[in-house]
Amino acid sequence: MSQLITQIIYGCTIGAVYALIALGFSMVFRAVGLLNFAHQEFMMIGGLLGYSVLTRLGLPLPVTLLLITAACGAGAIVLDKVGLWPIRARRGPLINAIVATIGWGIIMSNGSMFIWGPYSLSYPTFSQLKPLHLGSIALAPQYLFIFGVGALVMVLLQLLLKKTMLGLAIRASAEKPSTAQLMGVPTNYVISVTFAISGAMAGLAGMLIASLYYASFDMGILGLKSLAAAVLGGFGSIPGAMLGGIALGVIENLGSTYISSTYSDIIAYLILILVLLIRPAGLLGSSGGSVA
Amino acid sequence: MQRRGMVGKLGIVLLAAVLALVLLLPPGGAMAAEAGPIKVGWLGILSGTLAPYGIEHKTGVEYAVEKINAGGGIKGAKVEMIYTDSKFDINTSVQAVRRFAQQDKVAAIIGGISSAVTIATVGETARLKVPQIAGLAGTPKITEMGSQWIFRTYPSVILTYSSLAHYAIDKLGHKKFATLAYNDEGGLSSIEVFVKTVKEKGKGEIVAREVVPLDAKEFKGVLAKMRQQNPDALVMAAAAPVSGLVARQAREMGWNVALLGHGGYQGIQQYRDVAGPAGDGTLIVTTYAPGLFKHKEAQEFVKEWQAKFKRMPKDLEAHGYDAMNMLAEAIGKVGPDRQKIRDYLAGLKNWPGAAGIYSFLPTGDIRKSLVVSEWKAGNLTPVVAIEKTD
Repeated sequence: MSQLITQIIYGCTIGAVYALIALGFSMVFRAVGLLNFAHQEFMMIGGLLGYSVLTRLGLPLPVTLLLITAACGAGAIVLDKVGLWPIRARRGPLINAIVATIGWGIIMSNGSMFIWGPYSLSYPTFSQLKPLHLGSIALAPQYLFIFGVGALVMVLLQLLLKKTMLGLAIRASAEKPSTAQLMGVPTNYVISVTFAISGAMAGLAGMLIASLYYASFDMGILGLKSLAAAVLGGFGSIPGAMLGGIALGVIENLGSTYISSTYSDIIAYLILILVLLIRPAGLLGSSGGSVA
Repeated sequence: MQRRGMVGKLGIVLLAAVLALVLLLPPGGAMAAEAGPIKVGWLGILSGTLAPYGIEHKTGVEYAVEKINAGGGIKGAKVEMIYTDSKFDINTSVQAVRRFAQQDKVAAIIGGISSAVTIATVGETARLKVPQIAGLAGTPKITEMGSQWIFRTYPSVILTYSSLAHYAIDKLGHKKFATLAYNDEGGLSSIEVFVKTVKEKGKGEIVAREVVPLDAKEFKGVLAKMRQQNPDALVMAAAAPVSGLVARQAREMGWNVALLGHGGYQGIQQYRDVAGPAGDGTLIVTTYAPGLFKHKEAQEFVKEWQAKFKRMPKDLEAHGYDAMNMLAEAIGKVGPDRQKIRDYLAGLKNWPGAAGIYSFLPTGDIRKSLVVSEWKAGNLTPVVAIEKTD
């Protein structure tokens, strides 16, 4: 029993990181109708930049977290303004913009290999090895820290979206951009803010995951799983992205513990497909914007 | 008119025949041709991320050639090396092998750094009937392809992981093993040979066997499952940083199981970098440690190397040196005849070299001395030499 609880907690931790990245996929999709395949690379950049800041500048962890989060947010704005907005502004086909994001993703990941090399870089912090004992449950403390940070950021995001004027503007322009613009919402500004938030959360997620494992130029693949998480929860739905992320993390972990580590990916994706067959819009998705 | 024309034509034909003979005959006759240099082709990676391995091996070969030529060559004939960068590219490598065999007329080829490229050249050296001594190719496959012309001086995972099994049971007294393999050829074949060796010895048992996907980073679930079987040791075979994560996560769970092997020759230090202090105590089987082997050839090599380079020799330097010397001995005994060189190498048993004592199997695979090493306070430290393997 304590084994099950422990594995669920570990699953939730990875899930919280998935959720942070999944949120970015969802928010950008809602804002500009675009699947951003460069998104997971901001997670990778966050992980690698975080490594450099921690080891070269020796800044404390909380400062580094904030710094990297801000840097990745700014990076996402640049990506949109330089690499995607021109296509949107000239009404280029959506598929072209999506292919452009794939291209930017490849450039980011290969570029990072030139800068940081093909190595696995592990963080100097979190090196304490003593597990925390809660009754019969043994937990590594950084898992709790990561889950806490992830949860806190998601709560803050919900507050921002529901309780502030900016949040209202983001939701309004996602719902009906033309109407929002007529009502005086500066939609271009709102789109930039959306990219910034998604990039920032991906960068943060990258540092969290790298602190748990290691950072490397090819770690974006892990972030791409979050796209599946976002779909599982209901693509475009923000609570759905959170739920989907955590569900995927728990399913993966329990699958490899109780069924087979070899097939943990197969199990996770089979469950994803099964959910979609029963609930085509995902767990919390609305039926709007259906396939047909 | 008719007659003179005939003579004229005959004269031209005769003149052409004489000319052809003069051009075809080597200057100085057949004797001089035999005293010409003995050519050997070297093929390996000299550019890109894997270049350090190629350069390391080449340095060892160069040193051996330098010594051979300084000592008067092989029966008076100098060794002439032709070094070629394979660029980690299959096409370039196959072309190089053809050029070595047909144009340069080499006596043999030393080379094959990296498994993928070497696999591609094995068929070609067999077809052209040129002996090839692979430098560093971890895959067991190259000596399992049925070629009579391939030899390896650097052991594959078959030898390192079977030796690890022997050592763990005979010397460490472990009985119950859990294994964790990366789902790729290296990981799976390493664990397969470990499991097979344990079963053949009949003294230990495998209580858990897990294979993990290549993108896996979270192993606590798998580790918890294996822990329930209460193994004495966990045997790992994955990329070095991935095994590092496994070690770290095992200790984070408070599991103090003995850790064996980790795999990933390339970037071995990354195991300890990622694992942190949790990696200390892990035992692995490696291929060389300078000064550890006691036989005369190994000791003298280290002494001479240090005098020349002012540093200790590296793993591939010692193995490259051995490959060249082995070949030189073969040529010295049987001459630069490809078939005879092959036959000589195939019969080589207990050959004492710088990086151990070598014996070839009929497949061209090697049995040679190995080293058990342990991560201690962040450094991979040799513990004991396995002088002979079988």
